[in-house]
Amino acid sequence: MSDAPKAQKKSGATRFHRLAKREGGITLDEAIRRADEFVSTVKPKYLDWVAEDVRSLATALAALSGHAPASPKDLDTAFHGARKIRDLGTTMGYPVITIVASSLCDLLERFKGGNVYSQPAIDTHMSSLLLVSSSAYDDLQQTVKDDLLPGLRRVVDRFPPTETPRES
Amino acid sequence: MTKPTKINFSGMSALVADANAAFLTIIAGMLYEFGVSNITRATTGEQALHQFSVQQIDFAFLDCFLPGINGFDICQRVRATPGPNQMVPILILTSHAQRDNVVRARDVGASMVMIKPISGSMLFDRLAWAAENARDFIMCANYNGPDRRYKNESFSGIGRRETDKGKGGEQRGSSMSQAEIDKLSTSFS
Repeated sequence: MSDAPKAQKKSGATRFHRLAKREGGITLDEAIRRADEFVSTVKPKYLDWVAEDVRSLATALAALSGHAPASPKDLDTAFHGARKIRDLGTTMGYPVITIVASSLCDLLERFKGGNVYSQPAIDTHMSSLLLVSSSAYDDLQQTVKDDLLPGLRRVVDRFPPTETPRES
Repeated sequence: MTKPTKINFSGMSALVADANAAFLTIIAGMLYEFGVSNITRATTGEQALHQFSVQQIDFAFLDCFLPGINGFDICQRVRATPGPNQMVPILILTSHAQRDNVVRARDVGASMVMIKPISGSMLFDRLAWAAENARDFIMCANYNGPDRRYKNESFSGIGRRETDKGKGGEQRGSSMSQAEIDKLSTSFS
């Protein structure tokens, strides 16, 4: 017979479950309304945040420029910068920012996976990011989505995907 | 499984951990609007883990790529530490919905995996689902966490439909949809 301790199972109900089911509270519709109101109060600051993030990303990418092969550490730094931009765009009502940043993340991952670093591919993405994160071109979001994104996709597809660990 | 029509968040304490301060502002702001009384923010794994040791947390959102101790490791440690926070709902946030990440989250005892970017509806929806589904807690030699032998048959919330794919940005390559994640993260393979 094995001496290994047997698995134990107990109820997973916690304070959270008890508190959540009390009288009162908030419905999904009310929650969405309040969340949207909150986002609208923060939205005016968002493009300033993105502008700062894009500047930081540009600095991180500058460290990669002219170095072959690209340093994994620098690629990671750039990747996290792009990811930071990606994570908020859709939430803040700028899905195109998320999609362009996501494309850049994808591209950087392909470089991390062994593809040769390409400055033109990076520049194309950074120019796109500057375009979609500029309030001056707010009215062009749909045009950008329709026309620019397929082009970025084709740029990324020039570098074969690789299975690399995404955590760093 | 069903979801409650309402959730009462008053008196609850939440922990949100992400390296991105702007992201923390947004998620904390939404939770505050839902009525959560006490929201603690952490930008590193060490800060997040410390909070689990000094206060009662009712639910937590942990980014899987937190600097220092990552969200997976924090979850595993919390699940292995007897005390008031051992069984709390822990939702792992990720930008990368690959199967490896989802399986890892499930196997360290995460209650759910949520793809970024988030929305108010996603946030509420996940918490409503967690509130209604207190899965049994399993403790054994190589796993502490919600019962993974849990059939997720009728989840009908945000991310369930095929057309919901892409809410977290483009889903390409080996990334999984939120619906696929829900299915995998609540079933044992």
